[in-house]
Amino acid sequence: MSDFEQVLDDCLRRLTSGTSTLDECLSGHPEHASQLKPLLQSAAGLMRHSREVYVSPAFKARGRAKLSLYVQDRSRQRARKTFMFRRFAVSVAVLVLALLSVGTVRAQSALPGDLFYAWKLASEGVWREISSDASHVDLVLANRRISEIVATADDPTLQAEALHDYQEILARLQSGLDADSDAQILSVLESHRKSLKDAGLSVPQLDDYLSPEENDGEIVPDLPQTPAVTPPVLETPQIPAVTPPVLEIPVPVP
Amino acid sequence: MKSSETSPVNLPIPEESRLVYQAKSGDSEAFAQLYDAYLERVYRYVYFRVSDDQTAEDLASQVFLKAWEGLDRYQMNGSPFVAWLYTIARNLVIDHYRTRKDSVALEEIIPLASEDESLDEQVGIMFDLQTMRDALHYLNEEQQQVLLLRFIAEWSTENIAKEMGKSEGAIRALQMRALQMMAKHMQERKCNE
Repeated sequence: MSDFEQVLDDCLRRLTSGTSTLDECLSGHPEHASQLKPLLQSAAGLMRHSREVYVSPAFKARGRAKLSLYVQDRSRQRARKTFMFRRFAVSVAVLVLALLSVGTVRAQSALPGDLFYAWKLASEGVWREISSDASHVDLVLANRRISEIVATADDPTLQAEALHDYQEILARLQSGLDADSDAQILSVLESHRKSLKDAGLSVPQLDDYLSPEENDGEIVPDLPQTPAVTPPVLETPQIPAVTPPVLEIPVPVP
Repeated sequence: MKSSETSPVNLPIPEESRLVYQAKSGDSEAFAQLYDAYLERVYRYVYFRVSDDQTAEDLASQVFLKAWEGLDRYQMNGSPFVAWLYTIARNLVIDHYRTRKDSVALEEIIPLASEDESLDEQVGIMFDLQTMRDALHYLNEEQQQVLLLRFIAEWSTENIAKEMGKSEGAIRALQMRALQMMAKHMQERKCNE
């Protein structure tokens, strides 16, 4: 910053703070007075004249009234917008809910390969997640898969898809077997086997869960038979009787 | 118009913060209090940037309508509320000049004078004010902004530098050039009389 800029800055600061008058500033810097004078006059003029500009009470009142009207109008508009937005949001939510419900209901009759089948599986997944009795849901789902396996008998690819899902459910049921649910699960699986048999189908894994008595022998399980293992007979070697040697102790002659 | 010979007093910061907070929450009465506190400053700022009082009043009113509209965007921990109002005012003035041409006759811009001033005094004040306005209009946007913030809003160089995103040195240089140009214009005007 040049010397003149510094002097100007100092004078302007003193002028704006009211600690010096224009003449005091000029007399304090006679070497720059001629240059300083027009600049300080301009600055002082601006400050002085700005104080001569004031807001008339009429304008202030008009402005306040205008502002008040504007605020009220905006508040109404905002309230209307909020109302419209809420109504729109509720409409969209209802529409989405209705579409979801209709779609889900429609999807329940879908078979593998149908457009809505993935939706059906997804809705079943949600049902199982939120249900308090997952085993019961699995049994229902297993029934559905059996129906699908039977219904897709003429398309091996689609049938394989349904079968795969059925096997997954079987695995889940197996892991959840206990004394309480055992009988119910086995009776459902028995009905599955019967349905499959009627359709001329066989699921080897299904027979794993059913007792041989329940197996009527018409469906031959594909599982390999585990051969009976006879425990080896251990032959204990005969140990010959050992006669301890007789020690002859010489008797000393007195 | 008359000489009030007073500078507008800043609202205490806690009071301003409380009013701004309430206004942001939708309290129109709190905003009306901010209007009362800052209208004069905004009006003075706009007054020197336009040619006539009516436009100055319109723009000053619009500043507060815009402020109410955009209050959600104002950051309370950023620059002071009045600085935000000046920014709105500056943008409105720029828009004003973009969208319309000034062709206001001198008699239209002569403001109402108070009854206790003699006609000579009134004319003198009006003339000086108009000369100031005209001289300011010879400056570029940045120079006008610096002079108005420094001598009408009465901001420090430091605050102007922050507001305009420049160094204090750059603001001092701008201020000096602006004062030189203004003085030159006023001198020429005197010589022409």
